[in-house]
Amino acid sequence: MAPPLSEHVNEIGGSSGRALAGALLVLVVLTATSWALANVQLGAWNLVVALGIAVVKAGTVAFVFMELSHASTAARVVAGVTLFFILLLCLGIVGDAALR
Amino acid sequence: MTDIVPPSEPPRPPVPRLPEEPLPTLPLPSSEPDFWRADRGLRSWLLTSDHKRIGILFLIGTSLSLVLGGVFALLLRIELLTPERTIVDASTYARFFTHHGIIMVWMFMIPVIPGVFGNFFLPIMIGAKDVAFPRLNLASFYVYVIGAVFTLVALVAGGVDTGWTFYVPYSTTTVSSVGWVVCGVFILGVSSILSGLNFIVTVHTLRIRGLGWMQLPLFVWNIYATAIIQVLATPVLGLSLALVGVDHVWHLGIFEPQYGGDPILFQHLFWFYSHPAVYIMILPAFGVITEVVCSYSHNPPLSYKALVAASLGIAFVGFLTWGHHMFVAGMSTFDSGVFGALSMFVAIFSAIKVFTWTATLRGGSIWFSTPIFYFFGFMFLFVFGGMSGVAVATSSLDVPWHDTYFVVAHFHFIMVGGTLTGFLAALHYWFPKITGRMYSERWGLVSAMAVNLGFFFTFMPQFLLGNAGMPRRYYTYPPQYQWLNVLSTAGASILAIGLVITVSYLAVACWRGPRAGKNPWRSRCFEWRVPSPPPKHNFLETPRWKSGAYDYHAAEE
Amino acid sequence: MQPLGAIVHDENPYADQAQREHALRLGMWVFLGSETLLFAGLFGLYAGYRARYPEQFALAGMHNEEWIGSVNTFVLIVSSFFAAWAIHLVRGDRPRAAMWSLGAVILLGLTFLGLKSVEYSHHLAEGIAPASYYRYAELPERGARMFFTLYYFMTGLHALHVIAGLTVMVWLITRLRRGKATAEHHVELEMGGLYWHLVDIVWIFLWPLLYLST
Repeated sequence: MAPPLSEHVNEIGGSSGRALAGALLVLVVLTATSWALANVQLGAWNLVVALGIAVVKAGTVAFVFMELSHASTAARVVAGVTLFFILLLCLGIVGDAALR
Repeated sequence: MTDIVPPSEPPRPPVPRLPEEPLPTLPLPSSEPDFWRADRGLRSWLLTSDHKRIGILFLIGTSLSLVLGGVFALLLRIELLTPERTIVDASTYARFFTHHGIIMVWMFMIPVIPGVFGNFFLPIMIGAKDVAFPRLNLASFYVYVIGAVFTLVALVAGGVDTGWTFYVPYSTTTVSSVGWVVCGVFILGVSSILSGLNFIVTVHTLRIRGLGWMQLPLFVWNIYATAIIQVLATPVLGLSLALVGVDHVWHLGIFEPQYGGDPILFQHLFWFYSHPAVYIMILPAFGVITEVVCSYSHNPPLSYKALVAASLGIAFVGFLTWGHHMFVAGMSTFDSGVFGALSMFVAIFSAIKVFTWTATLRGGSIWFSTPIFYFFGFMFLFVFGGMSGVAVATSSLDVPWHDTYFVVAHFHFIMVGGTLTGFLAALHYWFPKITGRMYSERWGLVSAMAVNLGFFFTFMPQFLLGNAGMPRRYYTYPPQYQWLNVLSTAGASILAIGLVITVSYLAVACWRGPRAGKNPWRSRCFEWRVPSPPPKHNFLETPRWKSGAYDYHAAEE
Repeated sequence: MQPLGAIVHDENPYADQAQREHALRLGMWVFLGSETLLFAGLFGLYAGYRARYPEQFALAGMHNEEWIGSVNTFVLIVSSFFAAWAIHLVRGDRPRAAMWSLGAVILLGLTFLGLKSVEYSHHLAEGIAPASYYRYAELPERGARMFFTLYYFMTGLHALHVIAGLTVMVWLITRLRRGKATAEHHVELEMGGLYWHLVDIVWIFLWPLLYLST
């Protein structure tokens, strides 16, 4: 059997209907949780918790809705590198603004 | 190595088609006119989707930009012939160096090698008929033109005097056409992103069957690494300039100290792009140099993997070093320390390349010609410029050198000595492939000598000036700096003459040069296996490459 | 001598549809990476200014109407679901249902913009405007002014992307109506969906930074 023409072998399938519904549920619950926790005084941890939940939500959207788990390796590398550079920029700026 | 050729097999079953988008099969004629003659008329050029023609369009655009940027350079060098006013006032002088920088960076150096040679050769080098998105490719050219128009409108509307770096708060308060220029540069940035996106997808998806990543010509690897930077760094520039524009025009200041803003944060955003941008400018030149070295020494690279790793390493580590432009800006010492240390790493990859190129020459059968002459010039100028870069990246040393001519000399050694030299080498190396004719080697060497000597005398004095304390962007200077300035201007004139000579004999050769065959340099790289000039669809028949791009030890095909 | 692949159509360098779709998907991901870096600069500025003015950012954030921000978060999340659901429907050979799903995305997107407009009008009425136009006497400090300037830039850039995304959704509905998407071939739908999900993800981060202060 001839090998496939291009590198798209693992782009088969995609998120099932149940996965999509499950992801929606997860997102709604996490959003409600985040809202509830925002009304609890945790000091500096409030921001950490809120952003941590946001990361999980974003990951859910990326892997389930955007089907990153079924995407090509190249697409996943793009996503990973992008994330890294955003963090890099923020860290570089905070490393300056907070430590002058 | 296995043949790089699609396996012959019975016709595939029909592929499902989208309605209204039939994908018919037609046999190609056995002989085809070259891409210059394939379609006639202005419309066929202005509406082309042929990557080769788009490369030529970019050549026209970037060459005109080089001339315009060069004119500004000559004007400012003339002004600097005397310590006081020579031809213009300070305000006009500020416009000269600003427009010189803006035009050279965004209208010439960033787009030139990818836009001209990347477009022309990358698809051929991977066995493809065109790039992944040919119409987007044409769009990227027109977006470039629109960006250039906005930038020129800014010139006509009075010009900008902020320096190409647009530092706030001056850029947001100066009464000059900042609004037009940031629009222009933003749009030029969009063109860069579109080009980069196209190249990335092309290399991932259109490599001919059997051509693995580690068999790609190294020029392709360098264009690919450049494209990654273009796509990820340029948006940050776009944002930073948009914020400056929005502040300048509507006073929506996010960097204004009186509203709580911090001007240094602009510099973070600006240099987050502009440092990787210098690697956008040099990586393609590295690709050209690699091809030139291998072809003219008739040797494979000493280590293909080292060159690949170095290219990717530069692209990645280049993002980690932007703070070294801000050592004396008021940034925290913590950041200064981190960025200073990280900046040392990026030089390692350049060094790997320099040593690999040199070692590649060993035992080779060297054909001395204009491109290899440019390579030798490149090696000296780039190494010198690179080492001066490591010097200014040392924060303690940067304190006296920052904003002096030392820095100006450093980046011109790399930008002109590296990128421009690489561009000229590419122009000569690929001239026979693009035009089907040969240029005059004698004139080539004459102009290469003029360019290299002119360059040296323009910028070497500037190291001395900077070290002696002359600040950059200054309109007047103490008289003791005059003789070095005069020397620098003299060098610039020679450089200009060299470039004029180059354009002249190349233009003559386009029509009168002797016909060149398919592979005048006896290179093994893939683009030399198609006719000179190539046909519209690059290949007259499906490519069958029995040897690799650097297989100089195999028998010739 | 073999003919060069199945494609001679001038603008199409592909050998088959699968290759073309793979290229379009990858191209979209690369484009999204680029768009994300555009927002990254603003997130970087937020991080820098928050490090400088922590208390004022918290105070200013408390002034933002949390309920509008939170409802908008739910709105976008549900709209993201409908965008993904539309693709699921198309793959199940139900293009008409997919059109309705995309219609829901548009409706929710317009709701988002509507709520945003209400919010902006409240702010402007109080004198909360960016930079030099800021006139809010109750939070006169520079840090608060910077917070709101960033707020306008970040939500403004995001809103522009929402508008662009809605335009894409309209175009996708038109494609579905004309029968240009099939169960096997609907890459444009996937691409449009990816863009919309990015818009959602950006807001997922904007919400805690701009609204969830204690």
